[in-house]
Amino acid sequence: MTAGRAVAAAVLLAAVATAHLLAAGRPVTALTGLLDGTAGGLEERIVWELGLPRLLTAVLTGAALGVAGYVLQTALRNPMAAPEFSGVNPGAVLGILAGLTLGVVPADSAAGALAAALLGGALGGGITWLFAARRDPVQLVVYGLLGSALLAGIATMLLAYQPSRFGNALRWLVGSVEGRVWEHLGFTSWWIAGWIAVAWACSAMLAVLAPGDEHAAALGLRPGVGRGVALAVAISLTAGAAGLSGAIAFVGLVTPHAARRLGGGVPTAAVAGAVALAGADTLAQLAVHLLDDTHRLGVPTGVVTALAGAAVLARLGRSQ
Amino acid sequence: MSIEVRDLHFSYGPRPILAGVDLTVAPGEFVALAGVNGCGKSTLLRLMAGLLQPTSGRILLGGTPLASLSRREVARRVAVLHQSLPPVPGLTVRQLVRQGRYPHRGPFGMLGEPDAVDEALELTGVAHLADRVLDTLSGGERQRVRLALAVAQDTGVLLLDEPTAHLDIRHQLEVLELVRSLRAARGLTVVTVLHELDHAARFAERIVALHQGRVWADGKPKDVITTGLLAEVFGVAGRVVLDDLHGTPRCLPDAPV
Repeated sequence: MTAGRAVAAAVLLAAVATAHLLAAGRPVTALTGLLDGTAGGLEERIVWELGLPRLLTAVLTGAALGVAGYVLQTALRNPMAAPEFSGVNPGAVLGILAGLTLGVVPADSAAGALAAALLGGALGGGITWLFAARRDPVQLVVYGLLGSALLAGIATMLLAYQPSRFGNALRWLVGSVEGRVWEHLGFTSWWIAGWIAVAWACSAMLAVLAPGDEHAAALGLRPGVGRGVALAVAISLTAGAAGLSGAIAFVGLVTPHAARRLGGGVPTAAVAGAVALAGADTLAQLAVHLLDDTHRLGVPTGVVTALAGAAVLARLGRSQ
Repeated sequence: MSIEVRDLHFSYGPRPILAGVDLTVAPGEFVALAGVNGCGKSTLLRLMAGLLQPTSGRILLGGTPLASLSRREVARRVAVLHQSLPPVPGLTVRQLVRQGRYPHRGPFGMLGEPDAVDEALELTGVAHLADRVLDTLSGGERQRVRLALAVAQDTGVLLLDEPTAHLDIRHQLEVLELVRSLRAARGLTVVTVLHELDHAARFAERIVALHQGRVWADGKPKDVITTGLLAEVFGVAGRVVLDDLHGTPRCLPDAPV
């Protein structure tokens, strides 16, 4: 990433962050008041305790999904590869729901949610891998869809088994960045940042893998090893995202396309994902105001990304 | 860097492709592999690049057994251009050529080294295309760029699988002349599969004709390219004449046998 791009990315992120914080309905003075480093008045405290964690959740989840999608699409050479279509995201959500309904994982424990998401994500990715083993990597997505449908079915069964958990589970099923506080972010933010760094460090490997297995092998990379590393990175990032925000759809599918059109790699995908999800959550917050605050749950961000993502995807499909 | 192939056998399942190939290529030599489709030319090339494992027999690269080298160690010694490079949306020329540094820098090297890349782009005459998207280039330009990738890889051996396929005649000659000049500039050992016998005769110092998984003939172009080769290996009756200008044989195939 060149200096010019880095500046553009910083400006864009700052603009979206400001819009996101203002969309929550707090006055501008509450934001500027925080700049001196202390949360003084009530409004400032609300921004500190609720607004900022929500913004960070959106930014981290978006960046994780953007990079996970970028890694999958590059390594599998399929523009339709995405965390939600490779069994990884549905697996992670299933892991969390299983933890919730079976009582293994306390719903509000950040580490517990992450561990459950990680196990589930690895399971989902593993199922896809088994289906698709020794076949063309391009076909992996078809088997990923199969595996995803299977996992979603199991998740629904879990809910039918314990309908009283439905309210709790909805947040994970639809995907929402609301209700996260600093304790949730502590470990997971490092987890996501660390794996994005790993993905970035593997840029050369991804680049060599992209044109084809023969090309990669001729340049000294065993394609199976490269894909294995890529899948591990994608699972870890997706699990981190799911552990924070549940099944946010389309961000991991659409934003890598934007990153590639801009000629960027892992950093661009991270910024694109972060901006997309923070932007979507800004819209979700504004929608709550329009709905006159009558809805207890608010508008989950996952609903906005699903609607916006479907529209973008339809355009993308026509233009190709 | 020399290449020694010793009693090499290879089969896909029960079907034998190579049945005992012996071949020694001296450092800096330019060798063309000839033969009909399916005779094992491309397979031999892949085996020499370490991309396939032989059923039996062995290959030495500069005296070192290929089997004892890691994938990356092989890639530091041998560059191979397959017939085609699958498209990657948005990939630029510079991004592709930089990948030539992968065997040297490894998975966590960020593929920097602008000097080595610039040198490869200059040497192959594609510096002016550096920031173009690969998919927008013509076939001839693409082959030049792929040769730039091989140059950036900085190996002693260059293996080419039909580098002139799908090119019009002018670009075929351009690519072969470029290979010849790269070989001179870098002291490369070149082994190339070539369909066009006239090109093989003109550009290679030595032609190895494969037939039914074995070396059928091996020698200077004027000794290998004969009416017997046309009849027995390629299945055509024809004449072989001498090209006065280049002093190389030219084939005039007349009819299938």
